[in-house]
Amino acid sequence: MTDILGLGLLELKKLIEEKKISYKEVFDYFIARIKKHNPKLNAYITVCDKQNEDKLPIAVKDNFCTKGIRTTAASKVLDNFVPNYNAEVIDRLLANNFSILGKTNMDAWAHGSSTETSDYGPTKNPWNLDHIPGGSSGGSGAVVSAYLAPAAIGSETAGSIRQPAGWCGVIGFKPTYGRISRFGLIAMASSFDCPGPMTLNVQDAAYLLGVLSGQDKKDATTVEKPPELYFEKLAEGKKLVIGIPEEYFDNIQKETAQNFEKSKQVFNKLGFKFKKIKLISPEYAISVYTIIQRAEVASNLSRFDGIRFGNTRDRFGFEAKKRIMLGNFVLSAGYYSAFYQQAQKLRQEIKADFARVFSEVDLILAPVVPSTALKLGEFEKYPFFGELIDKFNEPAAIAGLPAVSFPTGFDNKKLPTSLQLIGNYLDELRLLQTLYKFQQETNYFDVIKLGVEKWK
Amino acid sequence: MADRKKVKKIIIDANYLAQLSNLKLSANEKSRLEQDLNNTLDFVKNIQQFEFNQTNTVDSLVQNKMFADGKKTL
Repeated sequence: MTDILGLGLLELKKLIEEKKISYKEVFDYFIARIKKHNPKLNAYITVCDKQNEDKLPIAVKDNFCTKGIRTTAASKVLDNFVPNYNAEVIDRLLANNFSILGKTNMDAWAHGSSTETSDYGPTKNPWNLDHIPGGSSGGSGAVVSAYLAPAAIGSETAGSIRQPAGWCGVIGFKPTYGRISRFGLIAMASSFDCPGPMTLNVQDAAYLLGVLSGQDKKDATTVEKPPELYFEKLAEGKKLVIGIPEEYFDNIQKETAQNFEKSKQVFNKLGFKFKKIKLISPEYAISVYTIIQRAEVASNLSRFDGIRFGNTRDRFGFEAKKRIMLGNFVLSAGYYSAFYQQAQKLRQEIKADFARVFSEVDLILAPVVPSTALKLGEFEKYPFFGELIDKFNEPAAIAGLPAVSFPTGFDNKKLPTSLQLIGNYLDELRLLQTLYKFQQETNYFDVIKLGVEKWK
Repeated sequence: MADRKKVKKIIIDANYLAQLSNLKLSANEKSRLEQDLNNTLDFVKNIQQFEFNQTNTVDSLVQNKMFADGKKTL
């Protein structure tokens, strides 16, 4: 059989079309790799190891409802829940000749940035098993990095695609809020949640974005404007002006800063111009996000009463209980105006701040995380670790803007560093085109290639 | 710069919130939750000190094409 280690979705598709490999061989290949490596990584909760169809397998985070396939959101509340319908994302994948390889591990209810709050055990970072992969789409990041799937679908509320992609050394794309339907996605914070692809290269991200994007009548928050030809127009695009927010570069790890300078030189060489910009401090975004997200979580998780489906609420983990309680607190009489209403006002301020900046620049370049992947167990020290570690991701999430994280090299412990490009509303195409140019020039300094080879 | 507003200290009662949230807590959970929730509250109350830009009215947001579908409506 042709060696397919490290090949992306579209490369596999091409080999199948050229009859150099069959769908069954690809499927069997990944199942064998999962059986060999998943016990060490714990990246899958459910593996769909029976397949009779000629379709390309893809991994999906376990908060997307999959008809007939257990869907747990990594919580024992849904331990035996088997949906009788598909999420819209799943239906679009199936309609485009993909099959579900397995459901990936995540922070329970997407509450976290480490995948340690999963009721099915933490996922390990493929780069170092003593470290976390990030979260909440940590399982999706890990399966792509270690090539236990050619690509994966994650979801992001604020950082849950970009951050694990950064810590696992792969591409993570968060689209504009409303670009991809949330129908059938187990809700975390409904005004933030975005499905998105996690891939080995930007072509696959562009292709999957094209497959998944578009208005859905079952989700009234999806945008009417049709998606652009993301994959077809990938190699086009002009040289743009990229903003650098000074506030985002305080107190970041030395290697992250060094690799930022290295990447900036690449963009300069490619003809992009840079401009310093000022944005509202991410410290305020942490508070806005914490308050609004907890309020929406409290509402969304109230449906899990154990009456119509699922198990009872006593199976909620500590983190879920904490978020539900804080959410109800900020919505309660006497505190609503001081917290929730104030946070909503500040949310509008943050949106206006980005609108101002995007009148001066085309894209924004920023770190994804202040440091490379932390060790297992470190989050216990902080009451809201996730929000602190995601402070560079929360502002764009609050505003509903698209963004993509990509690898930029390593630190001295051989853990991947990363950066993100943030775009204006529905500007996914220019993000992808810009990243494509970067990819062609650097191949992400071989981070993705070395990550896959580590798990040969 | 204007004096920063003083923000009143709020202490969360985990028992009351658990009841409000239809959750049961063990004794250990209660003390941990109270500590964590109060620490979180200490941080997020910084939003009460934010100085809002009075020119960011709805009209200016619309003018800046804040709405993703391009329509000038909320």
